[in-house]
Amino acid sequence: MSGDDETLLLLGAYADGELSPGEVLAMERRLAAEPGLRDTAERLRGLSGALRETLAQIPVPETLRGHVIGRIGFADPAPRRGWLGSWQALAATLLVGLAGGAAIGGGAVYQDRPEDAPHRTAVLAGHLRGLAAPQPFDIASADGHVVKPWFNGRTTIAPDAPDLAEQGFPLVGGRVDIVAGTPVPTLVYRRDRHVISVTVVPASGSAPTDEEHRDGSTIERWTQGDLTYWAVSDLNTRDMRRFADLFRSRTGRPG
Amino acid sequence: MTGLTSAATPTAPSTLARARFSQLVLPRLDEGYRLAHWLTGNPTDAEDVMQEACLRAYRGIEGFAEGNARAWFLTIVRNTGYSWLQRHRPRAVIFAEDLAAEARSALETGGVLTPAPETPEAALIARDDAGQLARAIDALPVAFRETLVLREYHGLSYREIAEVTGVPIGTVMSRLGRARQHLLALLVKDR
Repeated sequence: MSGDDETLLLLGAYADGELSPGEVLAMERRLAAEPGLRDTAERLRGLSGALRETLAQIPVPETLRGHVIGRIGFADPAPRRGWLGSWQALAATLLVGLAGGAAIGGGAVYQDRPEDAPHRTAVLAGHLRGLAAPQPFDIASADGHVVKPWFNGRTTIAPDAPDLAEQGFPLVGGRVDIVAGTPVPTLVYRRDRHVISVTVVPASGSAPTDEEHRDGSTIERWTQGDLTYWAVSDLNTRDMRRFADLFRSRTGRPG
Repeated sequence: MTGLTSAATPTAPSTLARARFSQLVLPRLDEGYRLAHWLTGNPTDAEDVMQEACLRAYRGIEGFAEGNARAWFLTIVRNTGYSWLQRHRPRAVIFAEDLAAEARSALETGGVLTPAPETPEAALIARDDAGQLARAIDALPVAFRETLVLREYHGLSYREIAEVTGVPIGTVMSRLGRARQHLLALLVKDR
């Protein structure tokens, strides 16, 4: 290696902050003494700046995130043998249901604005996958003060988890679901043997309060402040409405 | 190939794996994609590499304990990119270290330590020349290119680059030095 090569190498490592304190001292002494070396250091700095700019210029396709999430969603390993089949059947039912709904009603069956339908499907899918897993939550806790902070750093929303145990809806935990390509919090409650998933997403416009039955599940939706809540369960309609009313009354703020 | 073996024996609930994936991988898609792009040289192949890398990351996510999630994910992207290159551009991998000829000719035509005649800023690449710089990066052998990208774009330390690319720190340092020397020489020559 020639002297020039080695000098450039050391100069690069100096600029990268990778020299030992002793080497830094020696390099700074040389830089003070040699104008030619200072020029080279300056050009190296310029090259780094130009490189950073050029390397970061590659545009990332907007569809990448959606593609990755879609692929991962269908790559979930089956928790138990024999279960995958039923999940696929479920997914197929879901798709048929969607296609049917679109064909028949053209939006009349569900009162969703176009962007709501994928949310609804994602929320339901998250709930069903939760049921399919050994447990429907990532963190197990009956304490809302444990579940709420657990979401910090995992999702951009950390929702209040009201204690409804006395009313017969104990909190059992929380999990992260993916809706519209974004990780969102889901609170998990129980009513006897039934699981209730409450997925919380940022409100987009004024989503109406409504109720829908799909594939044996009831989906309640309501908006409070800047958040939209989707509650999904196979509970009977009466209990489901009661749960939604209780939840709303406990998270509601004046005004 | 991290992760492929663990795919057959999932040990934790898939919900947990998905949560960890959202937390560890999703925030790093952009930087992963740019690494894949600089490795393969075009958007279509970069997306393919990313799809496969994310699947590997997801399958191997139980195996990632604690530590540098960024280096872990970039390693998977890098290895997936290399597998892709081996399949589609075997020559690129075989001649990965072949910078000697260019570097030598650069030295013969003046060398980069010759005092620049103009102000240092004038020797720098103006914004208009970004296309030229991008082509010069593309033309680097892959081993030099990835080291340069991991340092200048991802800002990894020499030690982290050594882990991601599986070479000693000394090799990282010399690859960086030679890549920079080559680019400087090229840009001075073409001015």
